[in-house]
Amino acid sequence: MTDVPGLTSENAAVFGYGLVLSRSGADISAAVRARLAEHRTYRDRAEALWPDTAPAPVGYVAADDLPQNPVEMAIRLESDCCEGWRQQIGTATSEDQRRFCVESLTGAAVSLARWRELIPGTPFEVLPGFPRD
Amino acid sequence: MSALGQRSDALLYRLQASGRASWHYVGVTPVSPHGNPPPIGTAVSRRDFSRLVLATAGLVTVGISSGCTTPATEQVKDPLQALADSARADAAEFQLADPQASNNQNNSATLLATIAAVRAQHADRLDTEIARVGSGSGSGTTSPTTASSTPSVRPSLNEARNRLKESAQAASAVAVTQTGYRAQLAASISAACSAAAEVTLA
Repeated sequence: MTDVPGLTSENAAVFGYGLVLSRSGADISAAVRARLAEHRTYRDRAEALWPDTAPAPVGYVAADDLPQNPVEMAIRLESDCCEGWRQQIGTATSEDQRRFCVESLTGAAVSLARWRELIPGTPFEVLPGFPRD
Repeated sequence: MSALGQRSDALLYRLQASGRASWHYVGVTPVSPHGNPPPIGTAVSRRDFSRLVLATAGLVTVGISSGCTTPATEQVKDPLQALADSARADAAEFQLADPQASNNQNNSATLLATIAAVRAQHADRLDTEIARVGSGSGSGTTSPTTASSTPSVRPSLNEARNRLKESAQAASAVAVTQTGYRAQLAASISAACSAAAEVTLA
């Protein structure tokens, strides 16, 4: 069984964006749906690229510090995806896997920046996926 | 029987040195008609000769291969160096704010200054990693490129966007070929450049 933090974070994002969608108003629900579909695609492709992994959990328990605001929740999910794919590219063994890691990390970083645009004063992520200094 | 023996002896005597002949020291074991063959001093057998040839060839091969690879490894440039150079160039150009700009341009100057700070941090992280590995002489090569490529005009938003997209592609290509922390760093820089081009400067 290999360690796949990126795939784990995609599984969590697919679940989590359902929560985001349930709390989001009409202004962002279309964007949430689009991003949910993207995460599903990434999850399926990652499962094909890393076949020797555990199946997705059947459910999740929300963390104590999970924000209630849907935009902040989406920011949290994308940030987790950045972190997961950043870690996973370090242990990837083939060029195909690393190419996919870059693609999914980029997708998460772009979405992270989009969600942050909705909240004024949030910083730009200098190195997505790395812990901030 | 005896006739045959006689003839054979005579034949051997003809081949064998009847007087002083040096031609039997050529590796062919001389046959003496009477008893033991005489000792051969400097004769080299075929097997020994081939061993010697192989050993010499091996030495020459090692010499050639080491002679060829040693300068090659010295000249290989760290693939992160190109990323660091372009990050430094971006940081230098994007922060050139125009003091007599209209309100709209001021806004774009602020955006570019934000990205310039980001790119400067990218260059710092890359330089740290390059210096850690020690395969490139980092600061010595970056300063002249920065000095020569610094223009007097701040690039437009369009130019900046295109350059960030190119940087993202270059970093992505490096990330695919590297492993471990270097792949992580290049991938993260690629993602940051894409986000800056597609969201911040969009």
